[in-house]
Amino acid sequence: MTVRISPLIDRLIDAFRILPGVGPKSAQRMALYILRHNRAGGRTLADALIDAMERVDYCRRCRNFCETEFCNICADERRDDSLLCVVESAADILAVEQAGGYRGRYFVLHGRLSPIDGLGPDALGLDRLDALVGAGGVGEVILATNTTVEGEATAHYIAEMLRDRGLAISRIAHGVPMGGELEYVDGGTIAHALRGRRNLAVDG
Amino acid sequence: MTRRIVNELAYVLHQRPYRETSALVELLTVEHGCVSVVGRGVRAGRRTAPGLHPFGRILVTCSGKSALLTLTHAESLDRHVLQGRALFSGLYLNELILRLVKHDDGHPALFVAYEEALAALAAGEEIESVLRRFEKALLRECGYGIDFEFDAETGRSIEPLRCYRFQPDVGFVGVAERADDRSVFSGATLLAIRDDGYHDADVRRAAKRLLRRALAPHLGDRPLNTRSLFGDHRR
Repeated sequence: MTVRISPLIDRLIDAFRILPGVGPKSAQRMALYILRHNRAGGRTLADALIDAMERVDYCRRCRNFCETEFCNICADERRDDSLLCVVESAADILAVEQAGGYRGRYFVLHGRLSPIDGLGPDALGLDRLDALVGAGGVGEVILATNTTVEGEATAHYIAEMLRDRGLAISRIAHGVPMGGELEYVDGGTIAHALRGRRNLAVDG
Repeated sequence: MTRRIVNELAYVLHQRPYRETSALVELLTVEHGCVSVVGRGVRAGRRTAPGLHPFGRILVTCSGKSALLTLTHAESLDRHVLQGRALFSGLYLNELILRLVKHDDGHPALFVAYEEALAALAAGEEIESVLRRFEKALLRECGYGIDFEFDAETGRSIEPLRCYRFQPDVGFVGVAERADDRSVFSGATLLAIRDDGYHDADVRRAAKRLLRRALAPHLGDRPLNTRSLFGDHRR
């Protein structure tokens, strides 16, 4: 049983528990730490939380999180308007950005189709994606949803939705990871990698 | 009482995240029907048990005291890779099973039918035929099998040239006229559906209409969500 300390401290401990990976013990440690060692940091955290919760919304174009009308990526005029990369989460944008090399735009679904859990096409803002593509300027849609069953279903659903728009639709490659050894890769992945093999161009 | 399932053949029907690194996994087993297990830590780090995703065939060991068992071991055997409409169809099969098959109710024949349906979908067979064959097998195994042999009222054999109205839980009843009724089918069509002869497009359409009616009473008020995947996007 959790030991109650005082109403304010208990409330702080409970509040920390909303964070992923934070159980009762960690929450208690965090609460006691900022009370004892870092009150200024605690205030900064509180202010940052309030500001972010009140002002962060979705980008009107790509649905990424941002507090302005358009996110930084959508507002950047040097980006390639003709490429649109569809991802499941805002974290996926960061992953692609950190990998470097991609200079197009994004669209965030904030989820994936999971009909058995009741998450259908309506829950993903796919009408917004359809409208964005329909507005013109996009030449290729890159479907970068996860390679899970739901991610595949989502990619295929979007591909069917956009089929008549007259643009290129591509799916990110999946198969053996970089530096991976075949011996340790599961059968399904190897089968997929074999089907998705490509020609090896040899110079000279 | 502790229930234990040891090294039983199972297919993964669904996986949903649970807590930080765990997952709730729905399985179709040979001897125990549908089984829900919690896999602790299966989503942790990079070793995300690839076999525990839908259409994966595993040997499962689990135990527990409640309806939700704890996964202790899952040995991944193989996995059907479905793409496009075949993938949507596979998800549809999974949803049907989750809605109709009871826990702790073994259906070895259903397991075989499911296995055959997945293999057919993965091999790119005509989807409608695969789905209808499976729906018939599912109804039969759950005790709601459709009798394609006899008129439910008169007990006479279904005749190709007569028409019959389908009544869920009753069967086919002969009718005089082929009225404009979506529940009426010709005897010839019914015999074709009985024999899974779906090469004719009219038979395929009739089979879809019939099986929707046959499944409806067992699905309750909630619609099948996977049906929304098959939307028509043409403008």
